[in-house]
Amino acid sequence: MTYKISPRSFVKYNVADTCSIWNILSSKVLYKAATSKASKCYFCCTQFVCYECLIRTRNNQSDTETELKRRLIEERKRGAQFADYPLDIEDLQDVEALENRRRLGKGELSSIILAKKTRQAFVTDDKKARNLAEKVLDANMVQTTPHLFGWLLYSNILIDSDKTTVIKEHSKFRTTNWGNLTIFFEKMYMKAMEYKLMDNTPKV
Amino acid sequence: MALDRALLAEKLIKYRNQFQLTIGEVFYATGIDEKLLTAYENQEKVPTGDEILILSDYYKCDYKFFISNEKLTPFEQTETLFRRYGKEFSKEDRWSIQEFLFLAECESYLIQNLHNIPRKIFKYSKKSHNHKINGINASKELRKFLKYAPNQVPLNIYKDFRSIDIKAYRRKLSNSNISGLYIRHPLAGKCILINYSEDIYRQRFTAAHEAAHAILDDDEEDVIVSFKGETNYIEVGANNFASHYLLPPEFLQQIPECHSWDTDKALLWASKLKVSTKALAYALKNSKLIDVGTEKTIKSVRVNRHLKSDPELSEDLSPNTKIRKKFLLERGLSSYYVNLCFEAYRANIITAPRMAEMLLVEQNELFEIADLYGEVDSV
Repeated sequence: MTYKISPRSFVKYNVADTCSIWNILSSKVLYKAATSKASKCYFCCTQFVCYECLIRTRNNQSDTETELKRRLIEERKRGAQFADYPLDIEDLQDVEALENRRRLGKGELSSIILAKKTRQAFVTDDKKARNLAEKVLDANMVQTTPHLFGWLLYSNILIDSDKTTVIKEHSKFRTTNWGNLTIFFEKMYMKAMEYKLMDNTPKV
Repeated sequence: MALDRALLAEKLIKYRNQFQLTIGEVFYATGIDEKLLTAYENQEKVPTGDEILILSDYYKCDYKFFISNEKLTPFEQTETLFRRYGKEFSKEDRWSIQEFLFLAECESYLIQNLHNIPRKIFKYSKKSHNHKINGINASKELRKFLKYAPNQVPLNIYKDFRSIDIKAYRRKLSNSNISGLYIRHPLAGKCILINYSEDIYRQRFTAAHEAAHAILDDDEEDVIVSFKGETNYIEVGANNFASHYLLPPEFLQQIPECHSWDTDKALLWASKLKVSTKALAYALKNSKLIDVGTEKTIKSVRVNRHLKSDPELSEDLSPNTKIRKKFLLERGLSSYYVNLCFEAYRANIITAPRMAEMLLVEQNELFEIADLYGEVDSV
């Protein structure tokens, strides 16, 4: 995950794919900050992603997966976040969709189509999906969880000491190297601090 | 493109029937309301795009199949299979076959897009009306084609068959009478499934047997199911291919004192050649190296199953890794296939969630598989 992305800005209306939903929900501190009155971020998803997260049968569901699922159900019940919206069949017949259908997961594919259709940003934590999405959406409309984290720090919605908590909370759900966003949170933290310093230093 | 509602409804009904599902069961698995599912089948309503994705995910098929007005092409083979051998396949086995074909289709896509994977085309032209002779000759030609010396014994036959573009998978089937099956898939090509419930050595013979169908019978049959002990002429040809491929007579003749056998020697050579003593006895008898009495002696013993090693599970693996990889193998996920998926991921052909779909796993399990295979590239 390279960071040409700037923590100075973050599009607030997002269509999230499955992995980003779990990553956003993995840290209570991050999620609370992201959906606070100060940040006003909004996350929705497609009907398919909702099925992927909550309905599809799992072989062996771990305790951590159960916990993330519980958090998602709770948030959806509260009605503020992660509402799901369906695509039309015509959306799937789109040439771009058909061309990408064997490269992308169905959750990513439906999320990109919905984001494009409703002019929202697409949030994903898969770099390959991000690269493909940038061919369909404007680059600034493709976002990541570490980007959200960086923007929250830059905007002072999260503070310096939250970094450790966010990483600790997230890592509890990621026992393997793959899928663990720690190094990207660290990089984004540095970038946010750097930008804050640059932007707040009086110019001589 | 206007959607043909009648055709979509037909596809939905056919899929449900193929897997012997009630509307309630589809609702339970997909979360799509029962009333809506009924309305879609009755052509009263059209599903949303997401519901099409959900149904294609559930039935393990390309969503384009549902939204295009194509006829039932990818469907025909399984329909023929279940119609012809309906009673033989439990609900569970039908899903295993569907997943096997899904994996084969994914493999085919990955091979087409990963340009560095060498694939050789092996074509055998039948020169006789005798199935036994065709089986023997095809095995000789394939061995020559794969550059085996006459006395050389192939050990990883799965690798051999994959190298000639046969999609070879192993999965547990609940019907123990079925050894394996061959399907000519319109997109994936020649596909063979080996019943993983069988003994490791028996699986090797079955793999060679099903590969024989793919080589010898592909212009006649789209679907062949091999039952244990079947003796029709097609099966005789395939058995002879398998026997000569795994146990070439030239090799058998070079076994020290090849006319003289006791049970210890039978166990030793069956283990070395990774075949059952039964298959070894048949091959020796067919090569006229032993008499009926010796054949009985050889067949009277069996290699202990704990001493048998799987050619797709390296002996160098740690016990834990071996258990985890064996678990994947039982689900059809050989190291060959898993590595192919990771290679495609590294080459930017597929994303991680698509790879999870291709491996029939959830995201967390994908991370664990990546860990198991020592993949370091993260999100």
